[in-house]
Amino acid sequence: MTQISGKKILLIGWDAADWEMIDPLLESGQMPALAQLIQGGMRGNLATLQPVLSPMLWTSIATGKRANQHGICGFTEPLPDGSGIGPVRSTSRTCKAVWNILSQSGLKSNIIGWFASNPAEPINGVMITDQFLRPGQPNGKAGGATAQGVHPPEYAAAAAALRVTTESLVAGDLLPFIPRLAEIDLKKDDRPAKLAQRLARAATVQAMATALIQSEPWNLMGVYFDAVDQFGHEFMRYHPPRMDGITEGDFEFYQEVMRGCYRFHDMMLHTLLQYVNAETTVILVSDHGYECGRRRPPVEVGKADPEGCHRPFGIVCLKGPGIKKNERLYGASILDVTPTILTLLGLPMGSDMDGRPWLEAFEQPAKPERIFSWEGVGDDKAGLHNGNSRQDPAEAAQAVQQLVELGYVAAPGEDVQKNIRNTIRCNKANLIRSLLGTPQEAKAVPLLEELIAENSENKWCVLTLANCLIQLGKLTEARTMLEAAAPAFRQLGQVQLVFAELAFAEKNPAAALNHLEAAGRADGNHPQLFNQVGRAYLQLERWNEAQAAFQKSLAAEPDNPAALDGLARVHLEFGEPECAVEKSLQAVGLIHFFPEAHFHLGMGLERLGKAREAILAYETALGIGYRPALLHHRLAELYRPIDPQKADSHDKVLANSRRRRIYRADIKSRLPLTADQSLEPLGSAGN
Amino acid sequence: MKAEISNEREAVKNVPVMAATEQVLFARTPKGITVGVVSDAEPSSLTLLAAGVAGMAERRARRERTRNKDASL
Repeated sequence: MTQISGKKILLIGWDAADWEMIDPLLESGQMPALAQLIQGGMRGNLATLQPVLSPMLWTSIATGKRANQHGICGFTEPLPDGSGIGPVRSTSRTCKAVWNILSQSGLKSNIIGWFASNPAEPINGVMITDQFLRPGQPNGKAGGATAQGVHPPEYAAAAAALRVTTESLVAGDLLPFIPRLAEIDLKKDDRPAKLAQRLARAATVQAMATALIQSEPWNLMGVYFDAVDQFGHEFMRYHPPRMDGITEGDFEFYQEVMRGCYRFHDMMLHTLLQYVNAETTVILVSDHGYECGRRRPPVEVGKADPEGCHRPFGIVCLKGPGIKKNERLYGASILDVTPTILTLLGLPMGSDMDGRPWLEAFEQPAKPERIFSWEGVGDDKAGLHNGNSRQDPAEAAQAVQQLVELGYVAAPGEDVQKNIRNTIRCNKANLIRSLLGTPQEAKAVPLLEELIAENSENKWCVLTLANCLIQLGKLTEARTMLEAAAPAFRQLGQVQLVFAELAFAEKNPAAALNHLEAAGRADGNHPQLFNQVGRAYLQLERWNEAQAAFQKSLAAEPDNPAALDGLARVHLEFGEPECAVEKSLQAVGLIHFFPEAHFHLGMGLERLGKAREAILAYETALGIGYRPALLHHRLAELYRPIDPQKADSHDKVLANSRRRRIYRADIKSRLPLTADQSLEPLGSAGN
Repeated sequence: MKAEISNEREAVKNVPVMAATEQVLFARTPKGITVGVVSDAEPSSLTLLAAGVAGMAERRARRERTRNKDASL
């Protein structure tokens, strides 16, 4: 086994793997390799990003950045020569991936099957792209087996020889998934063939991974398997309990497929773990979860909207030297994977990365190094593309057809220009969705205005723009826009939700509650609506009703940070700090980037007399951008007996904030009142 | 990758070791016959698939054996 010196990380990606599927299999001993990994390391939920689309998410995992920085905004994109559309390419990525950073740092990476990795980048190591793994065509032509798909290109032939073809599978390979395979008429039912295609692709990745892991030196081995997601889109509807619309016969034939899929992944994991030693850090992640129980969308809805089957939390497992054992990792996000890998390898993370290293997973306290950015530094050794390389339109069309079959993209029509325009529009919408709720939300406004200029009837764009304006404090603009809409449009449930958001921003919770009730009448109740109703009751100080709303929300969706934070606030009001802390911990355990929840955790801890823990929670809220005056006030009070210097610094922030408020009020009083200001509700005065 | 062929040779030696720890038992047919079972003597074809490059050689060898057996019949 050839090896280079230094630390090593095996990063395994299981697209769409979900603890809800895994935990029962772990409990019954059916995933022993994963059990071993968890026992010797840490496990946790991994928060995903919006939109929940795999090419964007796996690129965020590989870069530590959101789509507005990495540039991958969907499954497809226009071909470089304008002749049509093709799968999204590595040449469209606008920042370095972890393998580029390692390359310029003299470290080696072997990367297999990663989304948006084609054409292969000339990195220090070996790269086999997602497009290289495409299966062969019926005419015998080897699918994506072009030299562009492998770096170094001379490895392409050896890699192609490791391809596991669907034809090479035998009945014994499929029987564990479909025990009654012999009873199925394969001429009429193509589902076993679809299973075989997905199984062959997973086995191909495994063959290439097990070959490379032994034969090529590496510091980072990144292996991506798409099978859990792809099996899910075809077979999760048959997983117990039987869903409405699934016949008893289909249920009997296919109910074992998903369990089999996870067990097969465990077997592959077992094999991969045989090739690494105790000095290697193993990280297993999924980009999102997948509904597997009673919350699965109805069969036809799931087929029409594959993204609707995805859950907002994936999985993470972490094991290796210096990593805590048999503990939980809380508040992890897919954005954290690259910063964590860099920290583990002793490299600085870029301050322009959106994630954080999982320092709480380390046995010894660590302070990660930072640089301003990895972009524009050492590019000549980073294994970046020199320029755009051409993509064969026929190959691209075949790859797009596979995405169509999965339901991820609409079938392209005859009109090439129209297809290109639709793809650009769809990717722009995805970019907008990735910006919402982030500190970069203002960047979504011009993009939305562009889409509305193309089609003023686009309801989603109008509502999203209104929401953005509200978040940016442009309340008058938002109200003008919403009230200019047709009366029928304004009655829609989604529009009533935006009106409610506007009423919240105008500090009018009673009006918000009216809009939320109208939204419930129009579209029925759902967890997000319950959370908003709870929020209105909190602001109206109707604590019991708030508690009931959040409890309903949790009953519908247990992994629900907003509802947990809402309940924490209710418990604080009821004078039950222990319960409040418990709920807050659950909320931040699900999603770390939730500053209000950290703040409420601090309040609960403070009331329990745990000053040091409260400081930590408040500092965390402050560190992720939550800066109300009350937070500085509480920190000043808590620091005063133990660290007067820090208390003083928070006092100064408070004093400056007061001075700014007085200055703003003074300027405002000298300006003539506008028509808008004269109509502002009384409750908003002084905001 | 360069070591693929030698890996496959190694594989034949390594596979039984991996299989012994697998003990895969996936499902039962309606007649109660277990499938996908790994016996100590011979790993299932799916186990070989999960074994990656190491299992490829054994899968090929099995296909050959089956073909030769069919031919001799």
